[in-house]
Amino acid sequence: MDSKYVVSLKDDVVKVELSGRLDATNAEGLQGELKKFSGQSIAKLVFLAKDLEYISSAGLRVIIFAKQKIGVDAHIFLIGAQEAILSVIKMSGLANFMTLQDTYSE
Amino acid sequence: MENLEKMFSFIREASCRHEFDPEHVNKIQLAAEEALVNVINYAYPQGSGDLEIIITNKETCMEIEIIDSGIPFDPLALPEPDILAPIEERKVGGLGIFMIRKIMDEVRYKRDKERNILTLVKTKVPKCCETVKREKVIEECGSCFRWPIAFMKQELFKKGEVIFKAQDTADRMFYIKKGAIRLVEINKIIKDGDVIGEMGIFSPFKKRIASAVCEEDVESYTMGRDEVIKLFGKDPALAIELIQMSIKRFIENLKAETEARERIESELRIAQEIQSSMLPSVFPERKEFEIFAMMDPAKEVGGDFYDFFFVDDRRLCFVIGDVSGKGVPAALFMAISKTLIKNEAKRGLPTDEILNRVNNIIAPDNQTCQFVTVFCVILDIDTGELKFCNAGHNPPLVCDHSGCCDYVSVLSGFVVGVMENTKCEQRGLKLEPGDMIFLYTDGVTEAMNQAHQMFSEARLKEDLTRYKDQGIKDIIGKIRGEIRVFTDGAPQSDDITMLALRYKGK
Repeated sequence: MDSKYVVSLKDDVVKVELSGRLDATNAEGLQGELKKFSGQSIAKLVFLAKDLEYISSAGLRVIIFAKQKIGVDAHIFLIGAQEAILSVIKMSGLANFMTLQDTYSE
Repeated sequence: MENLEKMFSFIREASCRHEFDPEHVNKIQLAAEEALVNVINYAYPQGSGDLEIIITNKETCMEIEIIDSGIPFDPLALPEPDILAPIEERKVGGLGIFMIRKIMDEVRYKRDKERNILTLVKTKVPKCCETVKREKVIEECGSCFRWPIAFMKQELFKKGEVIFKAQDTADRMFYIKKGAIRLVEINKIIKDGDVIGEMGIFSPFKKRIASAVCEEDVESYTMGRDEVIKLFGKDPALAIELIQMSIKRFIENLKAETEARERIESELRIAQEIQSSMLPSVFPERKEFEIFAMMDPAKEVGGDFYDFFFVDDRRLCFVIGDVSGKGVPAALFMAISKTLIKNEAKRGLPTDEILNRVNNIIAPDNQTCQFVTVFCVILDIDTGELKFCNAGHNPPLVCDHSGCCDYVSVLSGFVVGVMENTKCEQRGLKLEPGDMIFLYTDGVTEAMNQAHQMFSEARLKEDLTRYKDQGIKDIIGKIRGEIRVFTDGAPQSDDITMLALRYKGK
């Protein structure tokens, strides 16, 4: 699967659709995109991960960055993550700071 | 960065070739990515440089070496991130190394000839260990590993080597893949597929009960505290299964120990029955006298005995004795003493001779410092004359026909069995018809109640005086009853033995 990410903003919710891989090769790009939202007041940061096959610490860093820079008060969601991805999220301890769900509704 | 993709493919391919499952292939790549990114970002601040990846296939693991000739940088020296800290406070750095450590089984760094060499090691899970997957219960299987070899440390020993000694702290378990070990003190052989000392990892206060020596060259896998800690970190579910299995074995061992103890206790019970059956229970019915005796053993086999037999037509010998100590040794010593006394008595010797001779036979061979107190009496049934000798025993009570009961004042000689040539003196006493003599052991006078009071000589004399007019058998029964009432449920700590004879005249 091709790696890509699609970022969108609606009201005060930032959605990031992830597919393929989020690793050191493309994580910076995503970070750049998310940086654009810093300063705005964001309530939710939703990562749609059902097509995400691989995430490395570079990807995790983006999530941490996102939380620290954009959504200081925002609620982070990880939606539809596969087993392998969940395992990495848990291993890093980040699972405690986001809501893991199978599906997301507005 | 562009080359990163190529590096990833290289590593993924190698992992697949090494038969890691997809989940592990991903994780290995993740760890490698972290390491590679670090090199790319930090190793060459001045520009570009080389990066080398060497993958080595070993029997139990795959090794990935990442080598660069950049500035000295030890990624392992970075502090670990605090993964419990709230997300707002998390520092971005350090997470990569943390992931590497979590994923790989071993991470090593060294600086050699101007190069940074970071080695990542992932142990292979042998095909056989399929049975050790999380979802399945670990089953007993003969040739297959029950134990997660992937988390264990391989140790090789040569024939004749001592692996551990008795009383060493038992802090690791050994799975013998090949070879044989002998547990010296219990003479047991441990072979291929066997496991020893598995309790050690969860009970490090335990000590080895035997020394282990290799009978042949041994290939073993061991697991100690460090490996268990690693196991908990990598695969908690498997670690829980390890605990469950250990508990199961713990319970099995406990059961075996209980059964062994019960076997010993039943041996003691048998010893007790032998002891009781050695003591005569058929009492002669003669017009000249009536005699009765009983021995009520304490919980553990003790060493009390009594005996009576005719030495000739007119002389009856009767004895009471108390061996020091308890248990089987006391019972054995009792059997020997009783037999020797009867032997010597049957020669027709006087009581002091009898005991002196028995003493000189026992004492020289007596390594255990056991001894026996004896009160030995010979009654002439025609005349009512008693001849007796006391070797350290409690003085008996005599109740005369007028109702007066008193302790016989007799000099106590030395106990039998300790030193050669100790003497006891024979004394005499005449019984009139109706007189009774009552012998007992200290289990009677020293019987204790819950308040730690003793039955005492005074109470015995009192009770005997009260019951003296009854039949001999009843008297003894009544005294036994009094002791029972007095002790009121406190456990019996010593054998209770009584022998009574009433002279009736010719």
